[in-house]
Amino acid sequence: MITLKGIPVSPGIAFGEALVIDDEGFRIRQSSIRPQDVNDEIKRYEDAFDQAKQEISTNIANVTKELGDYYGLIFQAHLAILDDSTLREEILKKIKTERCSAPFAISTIFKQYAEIFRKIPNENLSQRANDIIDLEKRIMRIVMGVNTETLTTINKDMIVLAHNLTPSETSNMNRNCIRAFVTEIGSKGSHTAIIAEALEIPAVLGTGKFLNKVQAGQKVIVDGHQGIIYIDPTPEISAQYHKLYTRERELKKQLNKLDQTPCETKDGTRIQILGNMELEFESRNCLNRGADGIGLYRTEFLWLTNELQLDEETHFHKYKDIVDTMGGKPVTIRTCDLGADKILKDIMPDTGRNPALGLRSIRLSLFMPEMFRAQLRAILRASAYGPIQILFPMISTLTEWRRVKMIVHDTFEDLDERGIPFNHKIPLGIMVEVPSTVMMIEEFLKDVDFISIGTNDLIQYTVAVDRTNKDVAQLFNGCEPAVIKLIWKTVTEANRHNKPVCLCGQMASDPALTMLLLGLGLRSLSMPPAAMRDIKRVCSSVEMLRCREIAFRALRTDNAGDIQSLLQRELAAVLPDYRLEE
Amino acid sequence: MNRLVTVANPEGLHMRVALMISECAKKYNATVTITKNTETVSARDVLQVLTLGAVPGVTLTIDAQGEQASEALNGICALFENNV
Repeated sequence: MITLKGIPVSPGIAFGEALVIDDEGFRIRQSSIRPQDVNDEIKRYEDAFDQAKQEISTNIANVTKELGDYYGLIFQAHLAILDDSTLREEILKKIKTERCSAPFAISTIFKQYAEIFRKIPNENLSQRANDIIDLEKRIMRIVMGVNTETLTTINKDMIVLAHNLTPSETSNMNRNCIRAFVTEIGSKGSHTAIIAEALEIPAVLGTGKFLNKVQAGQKVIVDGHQGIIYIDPTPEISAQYHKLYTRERELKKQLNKLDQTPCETKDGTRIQILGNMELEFESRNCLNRGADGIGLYRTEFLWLTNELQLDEETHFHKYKDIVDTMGGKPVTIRTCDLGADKILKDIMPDTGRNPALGLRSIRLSLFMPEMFRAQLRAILRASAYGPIQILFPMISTLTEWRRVKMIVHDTFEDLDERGIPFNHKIPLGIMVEVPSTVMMIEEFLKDVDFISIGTNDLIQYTVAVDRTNKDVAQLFNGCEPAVIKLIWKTVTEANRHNKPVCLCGQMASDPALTMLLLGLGLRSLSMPPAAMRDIKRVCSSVEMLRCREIAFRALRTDNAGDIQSLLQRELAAVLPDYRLEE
Repeated sequence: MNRLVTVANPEGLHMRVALMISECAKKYNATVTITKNTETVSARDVLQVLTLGAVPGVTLTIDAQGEQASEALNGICALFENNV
C-alpha cells in the first residue's frame, strides 16, 4: 500500500481504479525546414489554429451548460489567446525567418509564454501557465495529427491521477465514471479544484511526485476530507473506508431527500423557498437544492460588465436562459438596483455626497428612461417563455410607483405595436425597503401584484446606519424591534389584502430568524442556495403555533439584544445541532 | 490621452478581466496600450495583457490614440473602476 498526502480541495470519500494520465509532451522530429517549405508550414500552422478555434467554439456552449459559466469563460479566453496578434506574429516570424517547422515554432513560443507566467510571483496569475500548456497540447495534437487520447471511453469507477489536469482534459472526460481527482501539483482555486466542486466529487491536489509509483488499474481510495490517498490499500483500510463511505452516502441521501421535499413546517404549513441569484449557474444550484423558484434575480452585473450601454438582446437572452433552466418555476427579475456612482461616473462625476439617499436604483431608472425601457422590453420579451414577475427596487412614494407603471404600460404598447409576444398579465411588484413605503403599505397594496421585503436596505434606512462604516455598523441588526415591527406591519397588511409577500434580504438566510419570520406571517423566503438546507431543516422542525408565540414575544421586547438571545434559545431548543454536517 | 488606474481586484488582472479589456478595446476605433513600469502591451491582445502579471495594487497606465480614443479610454478605465 502507498499512502499519499495532499491538499483536500473537495470533500468526500471515493473508491475506484487508477486512471493515470501521462503528461508527456509531443516529440517533434523535425525542427528546421527548407526555404521552399515555408509557405506550406505557414499554412499548416494557420490551419491548426483555425481548427483549434473551431473545436473550442463548439466546446463553449456545452461546457457552459454542463459545468457552469466559469468553464465557458476559460474557453472564451483560450479563443481570444489564439487571436492574440503578437503571439501570431512571433510564430510566423519563427517559421519565416528562422525556418522552423510549424510544430516546433508553435511549441517554442507557447513554452516561452508558459515560462513568463510561471515567473509571476502571484499564484493566481502564475497558474495561467496551465492554460498556455493546455492550448499548446491542443494545437500540437492537431498539427501532429495525433488522435485525442479520449477519456470519454472509460466506463467504470475511475480515480483520475495526473500531474496536473488542464481544463480541456477535464471537460472531455466521461464525468459519470470519474469518482475523484488526484494531482501532483495544484491547490485551492485551480481548475481541478473548481471542477471537482462543480461535480461534487472529492479531490486531493498537490501531493508531490507519485505517478511513477502507480500503475493503471490499481485500487485507489481517496479521502477528500483529510487529503489522504491510499493506492492498493490493505483490507483493514478498505473495510474502514467502506464503513465511512456507507455513512456518507446515507447522509447524502438524507440531504438529497431534504432537497427534493417541498418545505413544510412540522404541522404541515407549506413554506415557499425561493433562490437569490445573479449569475447563470446559480439558477442550477437553486434547482439542485429544490427551490420553488427564483425570488430575486439581480441584474446589476449586466451593467457592470457591459459598461453603460444596455444591450437589450444580451439582457433578453440572459433572462430567457434562466426561465428555460427553471423549467416553469417562477422567476422574479429585479430591475437595475445600482447607484449613479457606479455607472455614471464619467458623465456625472458629482453624484452627491450621500449615494444611499441619492440617485440610485429605481430613481436612476426613472432618470434614464431609455435604459429603463430597454430593460423592461428585454424582461417582457422573456415573459413569453415562462412565468416571470418584475420587481422594482427602492420604491419610496406612490407618485414614483405610478410613474414606473406608466413607463411599463408604454412599453406594453410599444411591444404590441411591433407585434412582439409577451405576457400582458405579468405581475408587477415592489421591494419594500424604505420605511415610507411601509407607512403607506395599504395604499401600495391596492396598486401592486406582489411585494418583496428587502431587509438589508430596510434596516439601513430605518435605523439610519451605514453598515460598511465600522464605527456604527453594530447598529445594523435585523433584531432591532423597530425593524421587526415594520416587517410585521408589511406582512400583516399583505396577507389581509391577499397579495403575495416574500422576504429576500439576508434575514431570510439566518436560521436563528426563521421562526420569528414565520411567526410574523411570512410564508415565502428568498435566499442564496447555500442557505436553503439549513432553513428547510429549521422549518421542518417547528410548529406554527410556537413560531407565533415567539413572534409576539419579540414584538413585546424593547431591545435587539434580548430578542437575539430569545431567538438563539429557541433555535437551540428545536435543533440542538442545527449545523448540517457537510 | 492617458490615465492611471489601479488594479483593485483581489485576484489581480486575471483572465476574465483581460478578456473583458481586450473585448472592450476591439470595440473602438483606437489604439489602446497598457503600461506597467516599462512594459507596454496592446490592450487588444489578451495574452500580452496577461503577461503583465498585474497583481492587486499595481498601477497601470492606459493610453489611447485615434478617432475614438476617449470612448475607449473611458470604457477600459470603467472596467478597472468597477473592480471587475
